[in-house]
Amino acid sequence: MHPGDHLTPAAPRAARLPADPLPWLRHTLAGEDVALYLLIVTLPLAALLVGPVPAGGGFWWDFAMGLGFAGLAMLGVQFVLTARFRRLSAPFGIDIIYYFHRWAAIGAVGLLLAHYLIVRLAYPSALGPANPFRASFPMTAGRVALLLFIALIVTSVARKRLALAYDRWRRWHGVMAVAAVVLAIIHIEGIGYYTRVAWKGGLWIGYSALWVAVLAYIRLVRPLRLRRHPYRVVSVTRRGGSAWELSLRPEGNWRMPFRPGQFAWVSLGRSPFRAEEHPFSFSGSAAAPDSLQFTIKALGDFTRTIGSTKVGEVAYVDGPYGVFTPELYPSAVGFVFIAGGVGIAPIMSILRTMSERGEKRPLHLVYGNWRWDEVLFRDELEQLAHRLPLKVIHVLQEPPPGWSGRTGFISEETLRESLSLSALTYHFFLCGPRPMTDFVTPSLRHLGVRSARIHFEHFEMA
Amino acid sequence: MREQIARLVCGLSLATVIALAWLFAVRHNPPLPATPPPLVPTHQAAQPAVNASPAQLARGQALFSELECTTCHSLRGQGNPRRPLDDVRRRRSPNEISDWITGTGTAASALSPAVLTRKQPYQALPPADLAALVALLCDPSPAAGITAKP
Repeated sequence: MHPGDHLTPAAPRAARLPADPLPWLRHTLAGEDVALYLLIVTLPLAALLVGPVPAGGGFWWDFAMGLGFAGLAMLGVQFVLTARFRRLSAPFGIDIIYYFHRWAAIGAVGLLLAHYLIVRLAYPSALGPANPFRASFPMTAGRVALLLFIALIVTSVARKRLALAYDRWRRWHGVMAVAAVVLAIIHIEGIGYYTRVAWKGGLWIGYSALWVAVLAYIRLVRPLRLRRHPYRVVSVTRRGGSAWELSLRPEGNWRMPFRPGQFAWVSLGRSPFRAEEHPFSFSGSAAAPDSLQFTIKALGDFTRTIGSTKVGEVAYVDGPYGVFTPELYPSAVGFVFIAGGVGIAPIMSILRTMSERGEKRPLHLVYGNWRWDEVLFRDELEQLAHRLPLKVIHVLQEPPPGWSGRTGFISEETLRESLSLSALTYHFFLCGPRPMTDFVTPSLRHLGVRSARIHFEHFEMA
Repeated sequence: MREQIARLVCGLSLATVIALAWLFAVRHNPPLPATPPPLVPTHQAAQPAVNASPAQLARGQALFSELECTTCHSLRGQGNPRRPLDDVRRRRSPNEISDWITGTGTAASALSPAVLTRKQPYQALPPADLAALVALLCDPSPAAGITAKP
C-alpha cells in the first residue's frame, strides 16, 4: 500500500509484473471494494438507529437531521477514496475513483443542502441568529462547513473557468476539505442531541479521527517513503510540437516495474511534501524499467515549465497506477489504439513494450493531430510499423499541401474506412483530449464494437 | 463502461443513505399510541396559577422571540420541535417553570452544563418579564403564533 511495495531490486532484465489474475478475480475484488465502501458509509448511520434514541421532533425535523448525518458520512469516506491506496484503486483504475469522487461529493453536499433547506423552510426560527457573534458556536460551525463544502464543489468543477492554478487549487482543496469536515463534526458534537446517547458520540468522533489519520498518511507518511526513493533526471528531449520526453533513473538499487499504459504521479525538483505532483503516463518500454520515460506536452501551469528542467534534478515518482493496459486482456485477438496529440504517450509505452516482446497479434494505430510537424514520435512509429504487425493511420486537421492521408477529426467514417471487419472484435484503447474520446466512443459503438472492449483513461480530473 | 458502473455505485450509495435518513426519522418518531397515557402531574401543576392579562401575554410572546427561545423550543408550532413547550403547564408548576427558564433551583441539577450556561443570561431578567414568560407558558388558550425574530 505504499511506494516501497512496488519497487523490486534491480536485475539485468527487471522482472515482469505477475500476470493479471483472472478477470473474475478482479471483478470479485471490485465487488468487495464496493461492498466495503457501502458498509463504511452506512455504518455510522446505522449506529444512530440502534440502541436508545432520544425523543423525536417530528418526521421532517428528524429526516433533515438524518440527511445531515448521511451527507457527512459520504464525505468522510472521500478521504479514503482519494488517498491513492493501490489495493483500492487496482480493480477500477484510479481515474475512475476520482470520477466517482466528483459525483459522490456533489451528491453528498446536495444532502447537506437539503438538511439545511428543510430546516430553513419548515422551522426557520430554530436556526437562530446567523450573526456568528450571537449564534452558538456549533451553529456557526455548521454554517461555515456548509459554505466550505459548496466552495469546494464550485472551485473544483469550475477550476479552469476560474483560472485557478492546479497546484494551488490542490493544496486549498485539501485544506478546505479538512476544515469543513472538522467544523461539521463540531456542529454535530456541539449540538450533540443524537450523539450524546450512549456510545454514539464516540463512534462519530472515532470516524473523524480515522479520516484525520488517513490524511496524515497521505500528507506525511507517504511523502516520507517517496523521499527515500528519489530519481534523477537523465535527459529532457524535445519530441516535436511542444512536447518533451523526460527520462528518469532511480538513484539506488531498485526499479519500478509497471504495465505498459500505466501512469504515475511525478514531482520534479521539489520536496514530495509540497504535493506538487502531476500524473503522467509512462511512455517507455515496460520491458526495461531501468529508466522511466514520460512524454509531456506543455499544456498547463506545470507542464509549461518542463522544457527548463535540468539534467540531474531530483524527482519523485508515485506509481504505478491505472488499468489502461493490454496486459489485462490476454485473450484479446488484436488491438486498435486511437490517440490524439500527447495521448500517444501511453500508446508509445505499449508499442515499445510489444516490440521488445515480439507481439504477433494485429495492431492498428489511428493517430490524430493538428499538423504534420506536431506529430510526436513520427519516425519511431514508422520503425515500429516495420518491427510489429502494426498499421499506422495518421489523421490531420490541417494537412500540408500534397497530403494524401486522412484529414479532419477522427470521425466514424474515418474509423469505418480504416478498420477491417475483423478489427471490430479487437480491444480498443483510446487516449486523448476529452472531446476526442467523447466523440469516438459512440462512433465505435455504432460500428459494432462492444462497450466492454473500449478502454480509455480520464486525465482531466480537475 | 467504467463510468457507468461508477455512476451506478454513486447513485446506489446516495439512495441507501437517503433511505437510512428516512429510517432515522421513522425510528425517532414512532407512531403515537391510540390513547395517550395519563399525564401524572408532579404536584399541583394542573391548576393555572396565574390569571394573565392580555398585556402580560403579549409581553411574554414578544420576549419568547426576542430572547430566541425558538432555537431550542417550540410553542404552538413555531420553533425547534425537539423540545415543545405546549404542555409544560401540565408537568410543572409556575415556580418550576421559572426555575427552568433561568436554570436555577430545581432545574440546576437536571440540565447539562452547556444548557445552564445558555440560560444564565435569563437570570438577569427583570421579575416582570420573567413573570410574563411564565404566564405565557401557563396559558392554556391557543394564542396567536409566536413570530420568530428575523
